[in-house]
Amino acid sequence: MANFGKDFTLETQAAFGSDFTIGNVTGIVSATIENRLEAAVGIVSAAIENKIFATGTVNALIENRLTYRTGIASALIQNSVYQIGGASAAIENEIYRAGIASAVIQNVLGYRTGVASMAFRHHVFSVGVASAVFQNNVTARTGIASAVIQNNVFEATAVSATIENRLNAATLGKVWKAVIMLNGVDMSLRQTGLIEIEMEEGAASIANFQLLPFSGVIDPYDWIGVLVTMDYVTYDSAGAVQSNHRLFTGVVDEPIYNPTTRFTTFECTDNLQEYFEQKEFAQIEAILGGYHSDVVFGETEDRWEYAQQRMATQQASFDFDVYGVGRLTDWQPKGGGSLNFNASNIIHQSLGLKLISRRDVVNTVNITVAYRYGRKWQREIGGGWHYPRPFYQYLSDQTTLPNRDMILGALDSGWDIKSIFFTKLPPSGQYTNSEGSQTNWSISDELRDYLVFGVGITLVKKWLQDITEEYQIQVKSDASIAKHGVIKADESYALDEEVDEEFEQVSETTGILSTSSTDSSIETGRSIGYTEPEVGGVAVGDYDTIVDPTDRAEFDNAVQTAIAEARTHILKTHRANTVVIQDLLVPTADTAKTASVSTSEVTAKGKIKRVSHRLDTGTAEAISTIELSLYQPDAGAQTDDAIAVPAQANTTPSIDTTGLSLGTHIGGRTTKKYSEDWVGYIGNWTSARTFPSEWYPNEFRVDIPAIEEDARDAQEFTASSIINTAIPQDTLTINA
Amino acid sequence: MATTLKFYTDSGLTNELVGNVIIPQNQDGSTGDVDGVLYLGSVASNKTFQADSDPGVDQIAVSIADSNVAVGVSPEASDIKLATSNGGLAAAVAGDPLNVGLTLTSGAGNKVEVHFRQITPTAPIGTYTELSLNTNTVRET
Repeated sequence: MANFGKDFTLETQAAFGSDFTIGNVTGIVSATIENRLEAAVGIVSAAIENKIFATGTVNALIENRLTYRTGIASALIQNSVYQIGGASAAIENEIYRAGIASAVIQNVLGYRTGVASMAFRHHVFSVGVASAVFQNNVTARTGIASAVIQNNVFEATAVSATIENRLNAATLGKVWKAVIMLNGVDMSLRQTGLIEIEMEEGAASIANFQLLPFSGVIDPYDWIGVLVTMDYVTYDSAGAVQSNHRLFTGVVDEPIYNPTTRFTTFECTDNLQEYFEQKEFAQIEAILGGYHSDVVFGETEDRWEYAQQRMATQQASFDFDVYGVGRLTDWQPKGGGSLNFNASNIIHQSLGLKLISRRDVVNTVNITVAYRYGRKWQREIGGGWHYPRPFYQYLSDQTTLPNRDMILGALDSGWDIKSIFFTKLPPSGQYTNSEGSQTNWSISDELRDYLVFGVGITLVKKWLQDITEEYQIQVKSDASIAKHGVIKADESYALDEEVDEEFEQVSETTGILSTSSTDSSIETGRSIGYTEPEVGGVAVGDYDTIVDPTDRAEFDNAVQTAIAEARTHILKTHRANTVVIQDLLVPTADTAKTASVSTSEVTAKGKIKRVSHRLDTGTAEAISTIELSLYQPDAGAQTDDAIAVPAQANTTPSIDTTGLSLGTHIGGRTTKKYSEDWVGYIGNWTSARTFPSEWYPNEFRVDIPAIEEDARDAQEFTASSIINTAIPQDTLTINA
Repeated sequence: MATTLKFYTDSGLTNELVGNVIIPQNQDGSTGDVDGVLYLGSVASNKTFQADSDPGVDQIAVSIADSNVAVGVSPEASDIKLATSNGGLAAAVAGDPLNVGLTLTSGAGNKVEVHFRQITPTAPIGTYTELSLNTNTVRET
């Protein structure tokens, strides 16, 4: 049977059992078996067994599905594939049901030879209690088997969030109650004395309260870390609830038991610090934004410190609201939705005003950022020397000649040989001399390889040069300078790129690879260790290539971080002006909100910086102290520049490099004195010496130009920029 | 195994929603509408989520459930608007469910923002916990 496919679909059946057997088939078989049992309600039991026996290639797709909506079901599903030869089987069993189900699923792939692959997928989706037993057996005697088995048992569920609507009267009731829940238990009746809650922008909120003695044995340590919520509930004179506001959500930080009074005081925190300490750096960055650079702040593994550093680069605060949910709040006051305080609600003589001290102000920050790296130089200079007369003249009147050892010795100077070619004397034979006569010329191969009739040289040298780019960046507020004069702070940072020390290493000069045979007149070679200039190199003049670091991301980030931190520093010192008021407890006061104060003495509007609630269940006093932060001075037409990395300093070198110059000086027929300044070949006539005459040492001299100071010595390049910072305009009017 | 799809209070899916979403408002409407956002996602690896009713065909939807329909005396589903952005709340129809996709994948980068706007309910002063935001039944693979 080459192909088989048949679907059996039963609906609303009480019981189902069917076996599909494809047995004893030789040849290629593909089988698609799909069993579906769909039931609306009722009790279902299903036993399904699918078997495929085949010799040869088998492809089997077996799907068993039990779908029912309610009821009790049990299912026994067994899929068996036996074959000789290659096989692939995809078996997928799905059980969807609501109710109680048990499923036993057994898949067997048995084969004798060949390569087999089988993929099993079982899905069990249920609502209620489910048990699922999966058994997958792969048995192979020879061959390669791979089996991918993925079993997932998930409860298909919905995700839910309960909304708690608290509808409050616009005016708080005259009677109040503090509802304190400790680990989900209402402790309000045990609470006595003071309840204090303090919220400050950018800091953890703290709270404390005291409970009456407990009976029996207690372990205060059991309270550490338990959930605490505090709600402020007000009532009218009839006892009806007027409002319900959350004041604090957090955990117990420290329970303090007094063995004398047996009162327990609970010091609580909203755990802002631990919130960051449990996070990865990437998570903190995603939550807070801002800038960070190890160059500016130094490396740290402390997550809280890291969070504080990120916040130091932006004009905002991160803290928790009264429900313990984090929020990032800009320092600028909001346009609407503010709390309003005036003579009708400010407690008498509670209004306070504190202006910044000039000593606390910073309006200019001078930043110096040094970027140090090793500039990679690669210089390649060339030159050549050839015997100054043609060979036929040499035949008639010979001189000494340089040899390879002499030349290579002269080049052994700390430079690499990029390439070198030697021109050899002609091989043995009959040649015409300068007199026109045929001359017998005889030279051994060894001597021919040794003596040099001409040489072409390219030398290469690599070295590192210390480069420092220094940037002077001034972040300033002209409005503040006009009012207070320059009050500055200086900050310096440096980023050193790692130096590739191996870059300067010279390869073995003797490691020259020859590339031609001795029969030819020219033999070339090059250093084994030669490497081409790095990708991204910039040509300087005719001989040099320089490579500077191309990835400046770390440097750019350091500069941006330094500027952002300086800007925040300036602005922070200018918003330290504070207006303080007290009012009957304001449960909606929050450090994310804006407040305005309007009295005959002061008119102000700014972001709330601190809220302190003080509830005394002994005296029934419930007071809130609220502080506003305000930017000053108030000045118009200020310039505010974006954070920008200064344009890169011009580090292009200016040098004048020359190549090699090689001459020839022959003694024996001249009275010219020998000079150590000569370069090239220095030798003598081998015949017909004249007297008097100077006799020179037989040598080859190469004078390699020294590396210029501007290319070798440490260089420093500078650039500067100015970043203007505008002070936001907050309302603060003082009426004398 | 319960699904790993959850509501979170932060976009990085680091803080799972614990307890109720508390929304205080003045009963006389003087507070105005209150906006909020929850993040629907999973921090598991390599998971996909589809509607159990018809995977890959039916939308995963967030709807507003009301366990006590009593118009005028308690908050109703029609007091909440849903949208995938705060800007979308203006045009959203109060009470309508919010489709968030045929298939969701795990990872903080794939979370769905569920913005809600609570219109001041018409109800007496008090605390109510009858409204909830719920997804349809979801299967996880």
